[in-house]
Amino acid sequence: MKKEFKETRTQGVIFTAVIIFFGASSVLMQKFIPMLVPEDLAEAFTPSLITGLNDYVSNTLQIGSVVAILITISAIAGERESGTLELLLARPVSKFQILASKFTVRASYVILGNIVAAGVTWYYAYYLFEPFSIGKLLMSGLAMGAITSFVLGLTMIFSAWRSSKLTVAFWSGGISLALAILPTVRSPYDMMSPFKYGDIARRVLFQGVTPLGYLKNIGILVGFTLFCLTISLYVFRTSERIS
Amino acid sequence: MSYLYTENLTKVYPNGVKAVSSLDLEVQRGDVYGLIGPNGAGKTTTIRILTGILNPTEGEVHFDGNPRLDLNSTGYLPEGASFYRFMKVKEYLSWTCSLYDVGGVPDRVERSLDIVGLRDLGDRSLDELSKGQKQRVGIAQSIVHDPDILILDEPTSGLDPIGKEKILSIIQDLTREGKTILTSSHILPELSRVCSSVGIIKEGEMVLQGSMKQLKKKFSRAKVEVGFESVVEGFEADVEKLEYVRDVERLEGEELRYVITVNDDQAAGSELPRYLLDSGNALTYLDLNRATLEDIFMETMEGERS
Repeated sequence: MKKEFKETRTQGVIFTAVIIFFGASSVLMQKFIPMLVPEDLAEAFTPSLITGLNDYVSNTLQIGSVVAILITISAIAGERESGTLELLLARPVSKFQILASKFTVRASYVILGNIVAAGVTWYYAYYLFEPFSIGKLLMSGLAMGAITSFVLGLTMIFSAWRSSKLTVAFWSGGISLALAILPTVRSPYDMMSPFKYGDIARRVLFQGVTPLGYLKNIGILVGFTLFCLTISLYVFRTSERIS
Repeated sequence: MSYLYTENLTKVYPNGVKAVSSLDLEVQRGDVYGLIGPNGAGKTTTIRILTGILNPTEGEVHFDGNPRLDLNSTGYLPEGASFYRFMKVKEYLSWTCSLYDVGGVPDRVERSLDIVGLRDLGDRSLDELSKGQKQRVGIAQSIVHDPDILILDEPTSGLDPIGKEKILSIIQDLTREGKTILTSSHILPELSRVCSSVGIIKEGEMVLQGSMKQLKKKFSRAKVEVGFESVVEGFEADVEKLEYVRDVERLEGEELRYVITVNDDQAAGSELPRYLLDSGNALTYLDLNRATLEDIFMETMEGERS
């Protein structure tokens, strides 16, 4: 775990910086775009906190998922590519421990990064627009952390399967995109996409969500993630790819 | 019972390639066992099965009465090992040691660095080391937890003569400490210096196995190169008639120089020189070459081929 933190700390900082930038900039842009564009165009923009927060959720989910894939593709495929996996497998450490430590470290970056980004976004929303509940933003950040952790779990499957980071990125990116599009398909197929439940991050900000409803959605997202990790472990255990 | 042995070990890869076939390998406690074979013979696959990295298709590995190698008691150095470039030498060894069920990590790290002669480079980044130094870090990481058995896959591969010499001398030191070592190579003169027993593997099958003493006894052939100022008439025919002589070959382009192949290396050292001196030939030069591991290997390979 210590080695994983050291190896990936730069990636963790990059993830947090990227989502803080896109999260906070959504609110900032909303406020300042009318001042940056010519006067005749500025009239078309009406700064609104709701639009700013809506952009914050969309940007964080999209960019966060892409960065999550980028920081996870190297988890096991990177060990194969650099030739370090063989020595790691000859240590008295199980494949479950290897996979769990790699996932836990990355998931902690993703969850903490989203919570920090939610805090920064709240700060700007509060001072630039109007007093606003930080609790709702933190709950939204946590929900985005949960959906992004699912993307991590999905990427883990392909990282455990393949050796080339490019191939891992192709498969995990493609399937994440397909699952993100699935909720736009009519019922019942939308129920199969974790992104449908990830919409709780938006609903908690703008609609009334009961604590039970919130926890139910988070629980479903955690379930999807655990399902991906179980498949990852199966793939990792059965794969004989060393380099 | 052997310390480490395999029974009917077989590995067929998903693409159908049979890398190891019914391999029975036996390593005694305290042995330095050399696994010899040409490239692609199945040495690395066998080692990967022993270390649990690959699962055998058939067969079993037994270690000290247990059904598999105890990784806590095993040190492993793969061929062309790679290390985490973002770590420093000491940091890497400490991390490695922390994965094993042992205490006193700082002392163990210092000791392993001493053994491989890298004490001064402990704070250097792994990325900054030369190939030979990295290989010594590889040995250090394999011994840092004080294992009972060491498995080294081609430990001298790609090193310059000085680097090879250092690695071989480290292996000899570890042998003196009582470690059991299994090492693979296709560079035989190196192995013959350190090994107490060998197994010759070809196309995934064990074709010959035993202690160096047993094998040398079995292949007790020697080659004697001799030179003369003059020889008596019928020299070649007379020598060929000797019961311990297998073959006499005159060296081309050389005046009166011969290579005599003798079946018994005892005779090659005593009876043959006496005969050559007593039979009226003006002997000027004699060089006795006893069977080396390379000879044993080549003969085994040729025997298998024929």
